[in-house]
Amino acid sequence: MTASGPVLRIAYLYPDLMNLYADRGNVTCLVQRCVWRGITPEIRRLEWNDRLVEAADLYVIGGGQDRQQQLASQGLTTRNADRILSDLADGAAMLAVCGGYQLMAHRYRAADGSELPGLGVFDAETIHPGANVPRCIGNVVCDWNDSRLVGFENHGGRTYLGTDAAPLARVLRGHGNNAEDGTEGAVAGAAIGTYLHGSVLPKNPHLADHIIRTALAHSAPEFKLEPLHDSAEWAAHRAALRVAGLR
Amino acid sequence: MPIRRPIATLAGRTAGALSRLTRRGGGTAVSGLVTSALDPGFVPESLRQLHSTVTITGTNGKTTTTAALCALARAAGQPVLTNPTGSNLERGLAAALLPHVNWTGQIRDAPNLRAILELDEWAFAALAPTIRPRVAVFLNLFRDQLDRYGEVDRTAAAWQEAIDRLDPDATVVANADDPAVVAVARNHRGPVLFFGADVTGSSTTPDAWADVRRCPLCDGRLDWNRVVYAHLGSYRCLCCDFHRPKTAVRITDFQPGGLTGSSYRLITPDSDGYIQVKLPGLYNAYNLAAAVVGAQAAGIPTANAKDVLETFQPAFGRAETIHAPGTTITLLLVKNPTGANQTLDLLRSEPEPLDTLVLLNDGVADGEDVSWIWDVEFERLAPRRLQVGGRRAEDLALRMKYAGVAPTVDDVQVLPGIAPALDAAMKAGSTDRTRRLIVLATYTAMLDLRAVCTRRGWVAPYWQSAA
Ligand SMILES: [Zn+2]
Repeated sequence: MTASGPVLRIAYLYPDLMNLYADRGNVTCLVQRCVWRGITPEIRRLEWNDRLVEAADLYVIGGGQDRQQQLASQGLTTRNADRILSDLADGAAMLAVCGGYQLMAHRYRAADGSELPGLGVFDAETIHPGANVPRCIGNVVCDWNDSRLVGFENHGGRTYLGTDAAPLARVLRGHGNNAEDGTEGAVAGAAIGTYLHGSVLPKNPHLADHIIRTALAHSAPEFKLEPLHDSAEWAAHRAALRVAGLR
Repeated sequence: MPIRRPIATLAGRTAGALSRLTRRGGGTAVSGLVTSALDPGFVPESLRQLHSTVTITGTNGKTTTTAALCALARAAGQPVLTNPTGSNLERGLAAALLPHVNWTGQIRDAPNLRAILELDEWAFAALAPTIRPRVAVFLNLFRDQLDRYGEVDRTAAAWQEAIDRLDPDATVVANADDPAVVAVARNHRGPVLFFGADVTGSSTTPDAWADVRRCPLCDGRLDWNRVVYAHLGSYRCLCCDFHRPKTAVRITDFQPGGLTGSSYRLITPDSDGYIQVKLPGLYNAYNLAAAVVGAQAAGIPTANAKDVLETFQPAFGRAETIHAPGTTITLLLVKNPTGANQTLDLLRSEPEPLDTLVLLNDGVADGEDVSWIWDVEFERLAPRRLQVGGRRAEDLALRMKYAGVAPTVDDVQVLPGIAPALDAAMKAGSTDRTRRLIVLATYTAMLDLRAVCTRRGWVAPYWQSAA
C-alpha cells in the first residue's frame, strides 16, 4: 500500500515501566491498521526520564506493577503534565489501559494507604481496598454504543467516576471499574481509559478505528478511514464472547 | 504420628488407583490431593524423615532441571524420590511420597533417600519453611500467568520471605544472570552459589517485554554489557552497587544445534570441558548448569556429569519427538513469552522453514488470560505452513495476522479442537518427502495432543514416559 495518507504521531508512554498484560499489542494493532490504510504512524517511546517536547496526536499507556507505576506517576506529573494536557485540550486522542488509566485519573490510593497523583484527565479516583480483598480478574464483555467490547481484566484497584466523568461502557460480564456500579472505563473528550486488556484493540477493531479516527480528527480531519477486511478480528471477538458465556 | 495418617494415605492410594482405572490420568495429582487435604502434615513430616530435600523453582525449566539433577544422583548410585510429571503443587509432592510411605507413615530406607522436587513458584514460597530444603535452586523469574500469580514483583517478595526463613546452613543456588533472582538470593544468611552464561548476546538492551528493566534494589538504571535473552545477562546498576555476582558454574562457547541439541563448555570448580547434549537452546544450558551446581551443593558427586548430561533425554513435551505414521512430530511446550520466544529462536536456527502447528488453550493451568501471546514475537516465526488450534485458536490466528507470519493469513485454518488441528496439519504436509511437523502447545493443549497421540498408539502416556 502506498503511504500517501497523513502522518499519525503516537506518543507511547513508558513502555519500559508500563508493559504488563501485553499492552504493546495495542500499539502493534494501531500501527498495522494505520499502515494498511496508507497512514504513516510515527511512534515516540517515552522513557521514564524523558521530557516530551513535540506534540502528539495520540497517547498510549499500558498497565504496570505497583513500583513501576510509582515511577510512571512521577514522570508524568513532574515532567510531562503540561504537554499531555495541552495536547488533549487541543483534541488529541488517548488510550490508557489498566494502571495507565488509573494514572490518568486524579489519584490512586494503594493498598498501604499511600497515594499516587495522576494527571486528572478523567474525573475519577482509584482505591485499592487492601491486599486481602480479591482482585477483579476474568473475562469482560460490555456494551459500548451500539456494539460490544471484549477483553480480560486483572486489577486490584477500584475506580470510581466523579460527576464530570462519563463511563466508556456498561458491564455485561465481569467487574469493570469497581464491581459495584456496572460502569467500565471512562471517556473525556478524545481520551479513553479502560481496564480491558487482551490485548484490547486487536479483537475490538471498531474501538481501534474509533481511536484512529478521533486522533486523525485532530491532525487530518479530511482523511477518511477505509474499512478493512476484519474477519480474523471479529472471529477472535466472538471467541471472547463465547468464553465469557455469551453466545 | 496423627491418627488420621493411615486413613489419609489409604484414601489417597484408593483415589489414585480409581483415577488410573477410569483412565482419567496417571492418578498422580488425585492421590496427593486426597492425602494432603486429609492430613496437612503429611508432606513436611514425611520429607523430614529423609536424608535431605533439594527444591527447584523458577518460571521456566523446573521439570528439565529436576530430571537432570535426579539423573546425576542416580548415576552416583544415590536413591532419589521425585515428582517427575511436573505436578509441582503440594498435592504433587504428596503423590510422589505416597508409594514410599507404609501404613504407620514411615518411609522405607529413609536415611538414604534424597528428595529432589520441582516446586511451583508460589508452592515453594508456601512450603519451604516447613519442608526445609538443604538446597534450594532458583532458575529465573519471568512473567507467567499473571491472572493466577499476579505481578512478578509479588512472586519475588514471596520468595524473599521464604529465603529469609531457610536454615542458615542450607545452600541457595541461583541464576547470576537474572537480576530479579539475584536480588532475593543474595540475602540468604547461608551459602549462595551462582551459575550463569558467559555468552555474547546479540544485544545490550533487554527485550521490550522483559520484566526487569531497572535495578530491583534502588530502581536505578541497569546497565547491561550483554543480554543473553529476555532480561538475563551481565548487568550492573548505575546508582548503587548491585551487579551480576561471580559464578561457581558457567557456560561458555555455546553452539546451537537447532531443535536436536547443543554443545558448549561447562566450567565448574572441579571440571572444565566441552559437552554435547540432546537438549536444544541456551535456556536448557542454564537448566543443566543449575542441575550441576545443585548436585554439588547437595553433595552428589559430579565426576561423571559429562556422561550423564550427554545421554540425558528431554522431559516429556519439551522438544519431545513423537513418531506418527509418515510424520515426525516435535512437541514443544510454550507457556509464557520468554519460553515461547526462546522456542521461536530455536525454530529460526533450523536450516529450512518447517510445517508448524500452534495450539493455545485457556485452562487454569495455561492461564485463562491469553493476552501473553501479544508479548510473543511471532514476527520471528517463518513457517512453511501454519496451522492453529486449541480453545483460543481465533486469538492465535489474529496474532499471526498482525505478526504478518503467514504470507496468506486467510489460508490459516482455525480449528479449535486439538485432533482436527493435528490432522489438518499432518495432512497438509503428507505429500512431502520430509514429513516433519513442529507443534508448539500450551500446557493443557500439550497434554491433550499427547493424549490424542497415545490413543493412536504413537507414544506412551505421560506418566509412563516420565518415570
Ligand atoms: Zn541499584
